[in-house]
Amino acid sequence: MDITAMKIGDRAEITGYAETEAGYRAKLLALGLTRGAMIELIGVAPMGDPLRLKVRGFELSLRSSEAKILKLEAVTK
Amino acid sequence: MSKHVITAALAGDPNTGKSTFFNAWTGLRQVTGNWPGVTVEKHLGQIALPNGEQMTLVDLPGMYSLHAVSEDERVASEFARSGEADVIINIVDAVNLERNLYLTLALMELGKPMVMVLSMTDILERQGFRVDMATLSERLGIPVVSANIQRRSQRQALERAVLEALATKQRQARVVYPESLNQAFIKARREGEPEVRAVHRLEGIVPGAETIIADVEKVLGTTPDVLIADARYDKIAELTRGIVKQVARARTEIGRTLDRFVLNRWLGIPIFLGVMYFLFWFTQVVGGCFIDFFDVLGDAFFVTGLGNLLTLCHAPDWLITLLADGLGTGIQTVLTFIPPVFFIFLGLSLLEDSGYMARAAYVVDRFMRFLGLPGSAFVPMLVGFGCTVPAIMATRTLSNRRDRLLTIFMAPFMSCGARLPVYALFGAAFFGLASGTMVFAIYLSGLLLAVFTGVLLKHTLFVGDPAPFVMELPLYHIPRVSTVFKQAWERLRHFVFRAGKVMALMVLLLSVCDKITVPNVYASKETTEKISIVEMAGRAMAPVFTPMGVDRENWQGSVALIIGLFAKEQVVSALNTLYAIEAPVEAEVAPVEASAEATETAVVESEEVEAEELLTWGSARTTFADGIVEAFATIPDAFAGLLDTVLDPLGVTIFKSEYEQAVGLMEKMSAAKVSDDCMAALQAELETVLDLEGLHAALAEATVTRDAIAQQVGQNPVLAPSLEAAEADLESVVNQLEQANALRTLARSLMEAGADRAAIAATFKAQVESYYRDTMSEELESDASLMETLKQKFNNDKNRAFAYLLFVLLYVPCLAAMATAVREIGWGYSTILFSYLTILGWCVATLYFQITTGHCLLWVIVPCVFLAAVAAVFYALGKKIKVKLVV
Repeated sequence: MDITAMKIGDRAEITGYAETEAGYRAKLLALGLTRGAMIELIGVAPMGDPLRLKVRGFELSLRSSEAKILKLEAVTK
Repeated sequence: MSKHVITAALAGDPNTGKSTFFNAWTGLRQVTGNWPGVTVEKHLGQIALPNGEQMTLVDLPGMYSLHAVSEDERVASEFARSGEADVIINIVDAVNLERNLYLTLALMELGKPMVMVLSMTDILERQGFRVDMATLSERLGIPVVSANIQRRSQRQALERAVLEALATKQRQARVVYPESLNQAFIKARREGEPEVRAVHRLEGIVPGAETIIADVEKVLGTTPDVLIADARYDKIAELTRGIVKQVARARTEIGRTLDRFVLNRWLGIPIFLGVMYFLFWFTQVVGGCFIDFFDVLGDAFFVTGLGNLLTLCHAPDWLITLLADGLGTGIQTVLTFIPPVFFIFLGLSLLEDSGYMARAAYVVDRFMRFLGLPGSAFVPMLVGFGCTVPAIMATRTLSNRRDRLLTIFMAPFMSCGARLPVYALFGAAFFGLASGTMVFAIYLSGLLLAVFTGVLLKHTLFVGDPAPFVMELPLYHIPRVSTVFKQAWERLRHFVFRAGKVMALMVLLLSVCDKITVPNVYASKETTEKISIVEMAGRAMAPVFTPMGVDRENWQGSVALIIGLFAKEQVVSALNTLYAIEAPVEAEVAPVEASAEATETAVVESEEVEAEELLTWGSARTTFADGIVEAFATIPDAFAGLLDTVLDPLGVTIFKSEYEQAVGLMEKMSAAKVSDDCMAALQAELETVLDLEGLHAALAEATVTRDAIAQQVGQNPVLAPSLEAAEADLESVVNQLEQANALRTLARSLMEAGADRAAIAATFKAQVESYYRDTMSEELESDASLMETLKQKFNNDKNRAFAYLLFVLLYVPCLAAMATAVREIGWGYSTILFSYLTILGWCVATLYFQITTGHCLLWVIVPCVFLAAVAAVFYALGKKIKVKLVV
């Protein structure tokens, strides 16, 4: 699944990256969005995008169209 | 012998409190500049180490890893990798320890001595946790000290740690990369290079291993950078195990509660707009209160003061023109931009430091994407409505070069405050009550053309996607006054000394051209009348403006446009002067021409005599002192009107509010059933609106001034012209008062009138319009006769006027904005920008005029061809420079 399938409050584990521009991937990796890391969708901006995520204890904002390259696995609560 | 100076690099993630730490450590011993070739600010600080050695601390822009995406990250990464630093000081945010250690591990691979500085420990403690610094230091193999260096002992501990790092061979922690990558590392490594280059190559930081990367992806199913990051985070997990200890129960976070409102789906945008409104008001209005101060002060010192000084020293005239009128005016112009630039930076630093800026970008990102810009580009656009200069400076907060360029290209379309007086003048002359709508239409045209430009540039000159949006939402933070002020001050200094230089030179050039006179080739042969080079150029260019409705007989309109380069509001005063000069000439065709020459020489001589009589050391000193007193007096004056501006920061309402109020009241009064009490109340209200009290006060003041001057004239005949001016003033006030009284009487007559109320109301309406036109002209510092000439010159055609205003909106920004753009984006892009704006302005104005009034097919086709040509040129240029933009 990808990030667009997540609803607010959902948690997911990163399993890998789809093909993307190297700079963007490098930035996400540096921020700790590595394989096995957990992300939680905690909010959406007023106009429906970007998304607000919690990862490794801090908050990060990404556009859903760009963050689609994250391969995710849903975590059941 | 000079001692060896140690170079230290201060590196860390964004939002780690790096600048605060840098300021605390280096204090006042800092220099700010630019990194070579880019517009990223460079801060250097000097530190005297305990052993007497000197250390230069280079503050690198924040970065999450060595893999640079934006311009400032590239600067930071390149400096760190270059090996120029003898020691790396890594500042780490204790709250986000894990994530910050990612950069730490990457820096460690560079093989330089390192010291870690831990910041935000106070915030972590408020959350109930503490970092075990001793264990962390042991595991990492580098000293770890606190970023809190307020006390001398803490500071010394830090400096000793730096010396220790330099003196000993550190056994730094190492990341173990998976064996599956070993082959790739060997292949990517070149002879004689440090091992770390192979890692950087596989990560994609340095090019040269594309095929190896592709091979790895084929065999292992994932690119090497993902594997490298995995390995680093595994190491981080190992390093941080048990390091952060809970020491107390966490207190609830205010930040989270605040975010519930600030980032709320419904409240987010209103709050954002509120904050932006405040920022705008703060820069434009509060900052604006100091503009007159700098203007008057600059004049007292550099223009009048310097001019008098030079005259008294018997300097040659050309030198006075060059120094006082040219350079002096240039410096004065730079000075007037100090308040808006300082205040915008103060506001921006405040928003950045508090953590709101990142949230604002998050809230409006979706909206700004229409323009192909990131959310953070909103601020420069908004500030552009006040003044283009701080708007261009504010783009410094955008890290991506393409986004910055695009924003700077679009900022001039936001109609700045200086253009408003021009709209006001034309509005008063041509549009009357519809002025407000007209001004709105102009602002809207600007916005629409900005969108048009954004779309055009996105597909031509600046092809490519906007930078991907990766925005950390840092914890809220009460901004430190010292950091915020310091940052604003640094940026201001930068502006004054870099953009200011270009600005002063440009103004110098134009001022000198404005002062040097040449024989007027346009006048009839017999006169020896002389006109300035600027005027000459304006008249020569007049034919260019004919297609947009500025006829050749209206050459003043084209000259005013050139004078408007100083600042757009000067179009008004230029028209004022130029039309006024022409008027009497037309009226006095009859007198013998020879006498004109004689009068002129006489005038020149008498002026010279006057000048010599008037100017002594004493009088120059008095003028100077008066200037300074006046400058200080402007501040309380400006602040007195501050509150009125909260609801109208642009000052747009000068057009309509009173006028509409008066008409509205009249309509109410003329309604059939109004009780006497109610009538009296409305009457009183109307009198307030007409401001009879204010007029009486003005009358008294004008009378006093006139009498005072009249008395002095007896002793000093030179003052005669001032007496005339004072009498004219007095007369205009008397006139206004008479008109207001007439209006009042008219309104009163409604009380007795029965049936013909409607007729009275209509008369009232017609009279009140001319009354407010006069008041408005008073505010615009031009007289009603100017408006008449203006109407005549523009054939009494609203469309001609509107086309002219469209051009005023669009054509090259004032010299100040031009200089700032040149400093920020270089001559190449600036030239493109200025040409584009002017061509677009001409095309839009011409199209508008031809479609509405001119109806000349040729002049509809030409602008279209021009626009197509511009698009084609942009497309070709875009292909050429594409490589440069992709960092």
